[in-house]
Amino acid sequence: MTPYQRIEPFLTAVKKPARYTGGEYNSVQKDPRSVDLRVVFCFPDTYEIGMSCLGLRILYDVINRLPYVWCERAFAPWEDMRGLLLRKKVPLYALESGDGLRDFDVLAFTLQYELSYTNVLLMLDLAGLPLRAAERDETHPLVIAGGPCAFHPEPMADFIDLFAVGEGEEVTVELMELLRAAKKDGLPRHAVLEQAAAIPGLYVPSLYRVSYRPDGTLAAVEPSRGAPSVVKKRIIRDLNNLPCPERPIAASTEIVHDRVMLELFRGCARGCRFCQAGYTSRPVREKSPETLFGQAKTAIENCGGSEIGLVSLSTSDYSGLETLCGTLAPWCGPRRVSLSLPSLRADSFSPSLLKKAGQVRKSGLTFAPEAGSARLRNVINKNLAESDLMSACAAAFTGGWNGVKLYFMLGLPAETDEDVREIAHLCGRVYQLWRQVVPDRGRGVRITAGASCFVPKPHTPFQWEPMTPPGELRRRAGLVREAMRKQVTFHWHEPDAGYLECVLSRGDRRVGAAVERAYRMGCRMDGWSECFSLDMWREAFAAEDIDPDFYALRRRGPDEVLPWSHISCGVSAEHFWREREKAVRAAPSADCRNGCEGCGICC
Amino acid sequence: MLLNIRLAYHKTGRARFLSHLDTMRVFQQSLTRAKLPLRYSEGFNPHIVLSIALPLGVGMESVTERLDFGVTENMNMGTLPAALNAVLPEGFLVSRAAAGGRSVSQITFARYEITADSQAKPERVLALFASSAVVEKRNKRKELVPTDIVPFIRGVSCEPSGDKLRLTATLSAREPVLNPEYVAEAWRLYLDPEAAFSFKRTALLDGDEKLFDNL
Repeated sequence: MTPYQRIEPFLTAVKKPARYTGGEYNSVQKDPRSVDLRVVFCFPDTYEIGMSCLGLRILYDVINRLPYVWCERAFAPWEDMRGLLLRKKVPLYALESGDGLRDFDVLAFTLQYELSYTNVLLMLDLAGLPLRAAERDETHPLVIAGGPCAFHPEPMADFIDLFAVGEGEEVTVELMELLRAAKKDGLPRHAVLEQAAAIPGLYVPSLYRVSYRPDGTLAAVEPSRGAPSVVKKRIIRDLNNLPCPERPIAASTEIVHDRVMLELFRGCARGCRFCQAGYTSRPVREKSPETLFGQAKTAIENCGGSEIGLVSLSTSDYSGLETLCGTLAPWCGPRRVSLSLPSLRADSFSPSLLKKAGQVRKSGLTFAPEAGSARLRNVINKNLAESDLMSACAAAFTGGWNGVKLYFMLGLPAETDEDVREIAHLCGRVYQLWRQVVPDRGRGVRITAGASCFVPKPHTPFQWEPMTPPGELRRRAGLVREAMRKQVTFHWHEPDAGYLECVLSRGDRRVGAAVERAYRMGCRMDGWSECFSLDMWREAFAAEDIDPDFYALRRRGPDEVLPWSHISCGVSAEHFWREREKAVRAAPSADCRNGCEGCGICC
Repeated sequence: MLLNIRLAYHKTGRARFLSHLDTMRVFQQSLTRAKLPLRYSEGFNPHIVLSIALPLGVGMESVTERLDFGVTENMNMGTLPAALNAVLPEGFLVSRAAAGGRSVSQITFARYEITADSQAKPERVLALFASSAVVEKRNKRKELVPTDIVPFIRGVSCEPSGDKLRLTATLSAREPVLNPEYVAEAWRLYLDPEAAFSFKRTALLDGDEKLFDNL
């Protein structure tokens, strides 16, 4: 009996058991005897979140295209299912075969956000595996990880055998080939890892020795056994010839984003200084509207979905947007497929475009000025003029939308109380605008302002900056609330989770001990506010003699060896420092399309 | 032209864990994949017009489900089951399709096969469901109220099946509907707290206890 078959009789005891059964249309079944390698793609959060992740869908497809590998899926169980698995002594299993994770060759995690780190340990633990890479051997699966957090992997370095940095489509195939050959030849694990380290984009942390200075900062990260001194991220040059999931899994139960995700382009030309994705995904590479139209049709016809989401970091920057919408919308209309365009910028918002896309629901529009004052927007290089925001809102109000959401960040570098109050004033001016432009105000308006806490991230110009302490963030949120007029609904995210995110993103290898300690103490599902406890994490840091403020609240110097200095996203440290200096002067930088700032990615 | 099509289908295996809403989703996706001339609702958010008679509890199997949906053209009912089975996920099997059909409001009873892993004696099981069995049952307002479920049980039989017991129970399928979970609940309460159950709906009956047939 497989672990799934053992737990199946008890599944009605948990909430939404369909999350734990598999069997969805288009999920891939193979004969285990016909493959050389068995991989399980592990998403360290719930099924509903994981199945909404484009990366999972792409890599599931890429790996299963290889006839010699069967790639399955596993997700983190919710608390009730975790309890059931433990009570029945059933290990975590993969959804396709129902086999226990321990019986696989490779566990491939995606690290989408830092607050899922304890869930990685949860899944290893439920699989019956030692958490630390050093305690695993040839009898255990290889544990690999990729995703955005692989750009700053050190806090997870003790648990993961190998990280894949950057875009995964090609490097995953190269690694599968290596592992297939290694399995045939019976290569010992250390030899496999040494060979893997020679593949560009793969980082094997056990091959690097980290030394520290007396002040606690890094002295050096030194490679051994031929591993590269700097691991450079992988980039796919031509997205048009990249395979794209043709038969997306149709989730049988409700998931967060239930749509065919059509990736318009990768990279972002804007250079917002706070945005890690904007830097790590460079350079900008577009897919052609023809390619996208074909991919959308195939995917929708094969999965029976009813929504297509155009995804990218900034949808309105896609040069083929009008063409694509012009061909896609007439195809979607009669099929009752809706088209959604998230990530629109206020300075390129046009109601005519949304009309073309056939978006008829006028429930809400979201714009992200990020900062209240023009000065602070220059600091972060979010070059959005207030006049552009106002004309976008005016167009929305007169075009029939009766609500806008505005997103801001609190705690940005060099933020003053005046900047903070300006968030409220800007929202007030949007409300005034609505009063001016809408003749019939009977229907009312919903202006919502949301603020999150700025977390300075690795691989951005603000990587050296301290995070604003949570107490100070609370004070600033109070300032906004005081100054906000009552017609605007204001909410903001508590800073505790952001603080931990900051520690885990900028931490070095020593932080891993605290991650393990926190997990052992019971921290799981930290991304869920009902589960998260910063107090428990503080206890874990204290128990491991780690000062989290050292990572979150300390200003770093330009010469400091950063825990991610040996991982390169292609943008040079010099460029980041230049951008940081410009931020100090509130000087904007050009959009890549209007002039090269010499970031080093070499488009 | 607007036509109503009724499907009879099975929901077994892993599919039994899909809720009523999930099942609606699955059919919305599958009917779309089959490229049928579907009828959609009006409004900003058009969706396929479909309804499933007598929602089945999560975790229960059935070989006698009924689903209605609308189409805008005549269709070949003979080939429809195969066309749908080709695009349905594991656990779903359309056995028949027909245009129109009797009103589902005539469904009065549903028969279930309840397999119990239990030490109880068959005579005691039958005796329980012949007298009275009071359990905490949700009423229409979702409040838990002590209720004798026996009046909602039309008939039971019980016989050993391997090392388990098989209870065949005909239960009210009209307000107040009796979910077979309550039968299991009574069993645990009065006969064997350790008993474990699995459920399969095997027949839908009309007021005369005749099969709710010809779809």
